[in-house]
Amino acid sequence: MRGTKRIAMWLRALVSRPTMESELDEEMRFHLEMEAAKHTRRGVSNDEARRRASLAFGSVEQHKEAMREGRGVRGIERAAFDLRFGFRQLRKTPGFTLAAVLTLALGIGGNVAVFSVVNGVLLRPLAFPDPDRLVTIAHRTRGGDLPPTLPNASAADVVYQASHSFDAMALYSSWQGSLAGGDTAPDWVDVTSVTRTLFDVLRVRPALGRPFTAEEDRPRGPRAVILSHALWRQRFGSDPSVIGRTISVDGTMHEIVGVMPAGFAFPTPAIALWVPMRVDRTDLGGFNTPGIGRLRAGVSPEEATRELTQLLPGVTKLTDFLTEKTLRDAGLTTDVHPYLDDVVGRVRPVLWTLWAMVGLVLLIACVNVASLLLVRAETRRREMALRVALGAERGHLLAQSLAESTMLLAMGAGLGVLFAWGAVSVLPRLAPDLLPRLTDVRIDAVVLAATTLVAAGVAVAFGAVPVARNRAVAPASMLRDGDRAATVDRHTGRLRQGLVVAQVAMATVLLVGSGLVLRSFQKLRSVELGFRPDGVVTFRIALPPARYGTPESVAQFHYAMLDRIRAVPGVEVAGATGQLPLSPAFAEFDPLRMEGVTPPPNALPPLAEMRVATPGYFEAMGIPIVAGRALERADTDRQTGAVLVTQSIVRKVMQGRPALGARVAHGVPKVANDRPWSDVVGVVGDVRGVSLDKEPVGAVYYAMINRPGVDMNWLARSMVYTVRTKLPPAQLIASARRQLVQLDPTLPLAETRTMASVVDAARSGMRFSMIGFAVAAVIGLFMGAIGLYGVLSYVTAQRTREIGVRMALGATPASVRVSILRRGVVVSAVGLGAGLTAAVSLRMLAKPLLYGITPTDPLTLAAVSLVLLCAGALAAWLPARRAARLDPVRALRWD
Amino acid sequence: MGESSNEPLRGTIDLLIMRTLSLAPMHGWGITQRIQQATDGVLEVNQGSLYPALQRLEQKEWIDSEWRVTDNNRRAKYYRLTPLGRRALGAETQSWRRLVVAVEQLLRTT
Repeated sequence: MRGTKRIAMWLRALVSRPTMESELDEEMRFHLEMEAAKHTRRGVSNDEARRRASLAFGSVEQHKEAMREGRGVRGIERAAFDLRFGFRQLRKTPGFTLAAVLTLALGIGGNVAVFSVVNGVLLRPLAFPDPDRLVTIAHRTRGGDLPPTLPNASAADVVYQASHSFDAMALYSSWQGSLAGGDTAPDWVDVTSVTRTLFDVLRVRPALGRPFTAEEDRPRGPRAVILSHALWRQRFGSDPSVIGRTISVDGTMHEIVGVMPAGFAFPTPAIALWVPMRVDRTDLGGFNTPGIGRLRAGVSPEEATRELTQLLPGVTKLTDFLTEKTLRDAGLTTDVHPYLDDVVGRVRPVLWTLWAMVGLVLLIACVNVASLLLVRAETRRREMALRVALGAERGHLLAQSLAESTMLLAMGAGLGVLFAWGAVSVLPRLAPDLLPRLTDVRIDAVVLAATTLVAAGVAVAFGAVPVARNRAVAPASMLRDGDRAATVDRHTGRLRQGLVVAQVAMATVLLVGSGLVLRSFQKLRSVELGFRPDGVVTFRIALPPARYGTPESVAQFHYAMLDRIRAVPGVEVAGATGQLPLSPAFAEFDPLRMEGVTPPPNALPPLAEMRVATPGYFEAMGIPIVAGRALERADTDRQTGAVLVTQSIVRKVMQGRPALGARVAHGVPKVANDRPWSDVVGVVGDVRGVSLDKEPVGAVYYAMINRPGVDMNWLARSMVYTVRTKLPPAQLIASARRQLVQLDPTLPLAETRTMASVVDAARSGMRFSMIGFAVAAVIGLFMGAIGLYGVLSYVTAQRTREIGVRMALGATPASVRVSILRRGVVVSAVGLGAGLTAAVSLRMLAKPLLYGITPTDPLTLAAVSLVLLCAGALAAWLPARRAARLDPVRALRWD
Repeated sequence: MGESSNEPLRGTIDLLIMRTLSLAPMHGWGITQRIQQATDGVLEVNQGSLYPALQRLEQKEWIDSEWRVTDNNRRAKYYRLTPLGRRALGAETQSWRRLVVAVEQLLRTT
C-alpha cells in the first residue's frame, strides 16, 4: 500500500513537474509576502520590510532545491534535462545529426533485417517437439556420385529395422497429384507419401481423426488420406464431418482419416495431402526416398551413423548386383545428420556470410559516427573547458555526452528498424522459393532485444569518446589558446587516421566479397544451358490413372493434345517431356546398364537421369541432335523402346563404343531382365538438368511407350508441354486452355511458365546473394568514402592557418592540392592493403558461395583496388580543391 | 544567522507542526507564527526546515494539503492533519513526554 502510494507520488512528481514548480514558487512567495507584511504593520518601510523578510527567509532557491530533492525524483529529472539539452545540441547541428542518424540507421537496419532472417531460418527451432533429435538418414559414396537419399524404400525399411539408435524412423516422398471431391473443381496438389511411423518421428498427431493404421500402410491395404489444415479449410470449409468421406487422389478413391493441425509443414508448407507409402518389401524402387528419424534420447547423429553403416551390408541380401565388396569399394556409408541442416543447409553459408557483411557495414557506420563525434568534440573543446572552469562536474559532462549519443542511437535504431521492417516485408517477393522457412522470418522480441543490446553498447562507446578526448583539457590553457592552436595534436590526428584506415579496410573486404559473387553470377549467366529458353512457353497436363488407365490412352491423349497445340497459328514447334530442365525436386536418377558391357566388378553402376520426351521436344527446346535421329511417333509402337542418350552418357557409360544401335536399360534389377533393353537411336546435347552450378548428369530420354507392363508409363502420365512460339505467353496459354477443354474438360492446365522464368528462378539463389552483398558493399564503400572525406575536410580546416602560412611563404595552389590528395590516397592505400590481406585470409569462407572462380580471382581484386583508390582520391579531391583556393590573407586571420 | 539557539530540537519539528495543525488547518507562514506565539517566541521555526518537514509529513500521509483563499483574499496552501496523522500525533506526543521525563530525571540525579 505504502509502496504503491510512493510510486504514485513519484509519478505525479514526474508528470506534473511544471505544476509542482509553480506551486512551490507561489508558496514561497506567499510566505515572504506575509513576513514582509508583518514588518510593514510594525511601521517599517516597504523596502526594508521586504529586505528583512528575505533575510529571515534565507535563499529561496536553496529551499526550493531542498524541496525538489525531497520529491525523490532528482535523478530522473536530471536525466530528462540532459536529454533535452542533448536534443537542443543535436538540433543546432542538423547536418551532423542527419549524417549520424542515417549512417546508424543503415548500419543497424541492415543488421536487424539480416539477423531476423538468420534468426527465423537458421536459429529458431523447427516447429516439432524436441526438434534437436530429428535427423535425416541419407547415404554417401566416396566419389559423391550418389544422390544423398536412401538406396530405396524397401531396403531401408528392412535393413535398418534392427537399429537401436532411433525412437522411430520414417520414409517420405513427394509429388504432384490430382485431387477430386469436395466442393470445388479437380485440382493439382502437392502430395507426400509417408510411412505410418512419420507421426511418431515428428510427434505430431492429426488435429482431427487419426494417423494411418498398419493395415493402411501395407501394399493392397485400404486407401487412406490425411488432409492439411489449409486444404481442409479451403476445400471442405473446415467441416469436422469430413472424416470418413472419400476423395479421389490420382484417380483412386481414398478415405479421409485425419486432418493435420494448422501450421504443420512436412516436408514443405505446400503439402496438401499425405497418403501411406505402402512399401512393398519385395520390390526395389529408385534411389530417391528421403528418410527421417527421431534419435533416442542421448544418442548422437555420429553414433547413429556408425550403427547404420554397420547394418548397411544387409542391403546386399536384397539384390544380386550389390556385394559387400561393392559397398566397400564405393565407400558407401550411411549419413545421419540434423534434419534442420537439410531444411536450411543450402542457404546457411549465404546467410552467415551476409550477416558478417552487414556486421562490417555496422562497424563502418560506428567508426563513421565515432569520427564525426570526435570532430565535434574538437570543436566543442572551448565550451567544455568553460563549463569545467565554471564548476561543472566531469561526471555530469559524461552523462550529458552519453545522453546525446543515446539519442543519436535511439533515432538511428528506430529508423533502422523501420528500414529492416520494410526489407523483411519485401523479402518474400524478392526471394520467394529461395529461403526455406520464410514464414518464420519476422522482426520479433529476440531480434529487437539483440538490436537494443547492440545499440546500447554502441551508445556507451560513442558517448565516452568526446569526454575521453577532452579529459586531459586544462581549462586555463584551452580558454587562452582556443582553437587557434596552429596544428592538431599528434595523438588525435593519428586516432582519426587509424579510424579511416580501418574503414577503408572493411570496405575493401565488403567490395571483394560482393565482387566475387558478382563475378560468380556472371559466370553462372554464361553457363552453357544446353537449350534455348527464349520464346518457349511451358505448362503441365497430368492424367489421372482412373481415367487414363492404359499406356495407350496416355500416349494417345498427349499426341492428340500436341496436334491441337501445333495447329494454333503462331506456334512453331511443340513437344512434351516428363520434367523440365533445372527442376531438381523431381529428378529421377537410376543406375544405367548397357547391353554387352559388364560394369567393372564391385563398382556401383553409373547413374543417369530417366526422362521421357515426345517428338518435337528437342526442336522446341533447341537441344541439338548430335547423331542419329530425334524421337518419332512411330517409336511409341516399337517392340523395343527407342531412346536418346546425351553426350555425357556416350562418354561416361559407353566409353567410346558406338552409341547408335547400342542397347541400354535403367534400374537395379533383382532379376536381370525385368526392365527391357531399349535401342539407342540418337545422341543429344547435355542440358543442365538439376541446377545451374552442377555439371550435367547424363540423361536417357525415353519415348512414350504404348505397351502395358512398362514402368516408363507413369513418367508419361504427367507431362510438361514445351511450345516454341512468337505468341505472347498469356495468349498461347489461353489457346492451350481452350484446346484442353475440348479434349477433356475435367483436366486442369498447371504450372504455366515461360522457360526464361524457369532459368531465372534457377539463378535466383545467386542473385539473392549478389543483391545482398552488393547493397552491403555499396553502403560500405559510400560510408568509407564519406568518412575519409569528413576527416580530410576537417584536417584541412584545422590546418587553414598552416596552409595560409605556407602559401604566404610561396607554396603554389598545386602543391597544396597535391599534398592533401596524397594524404587521402596514402590513407586509402594503407586501408586497401589491410583489407586485401584480410579478404585473402578469409577466402575459405567465400568458397561455398562462388561458382567458376577462385576466391582470389585476380580480376576482382584488381577492380576492387581500382574502385577504392578512385573513391579515396575523390573523397580527397574536394578538400584539396578547397585548400588550394585558400586566400592566404584571410587564412591567417582565420580563427 | 544567530537564531540557531531558538531553533527547535532536530526531530521535534514534526511534532510541533502536527500539534499546531491539530487545532486548525493552516498555511506554512501561519504555522511558524503560531509556534512562535505559543512558545512566547522561544521557538522559531526556520523556513529551511519547515517546508521540507511539511513535504516529509505529506509523503508519510500524516498531513495533506489544499489551496485555499485566506481572509485577505490571497491564495495559500493550507495543511491539515489526516486521521492517520492524528493517531501518529498521539504516539509521538507520548514518546516525547517519556523522553522529557527521562531527561528531567537524568538532570535531577546528576
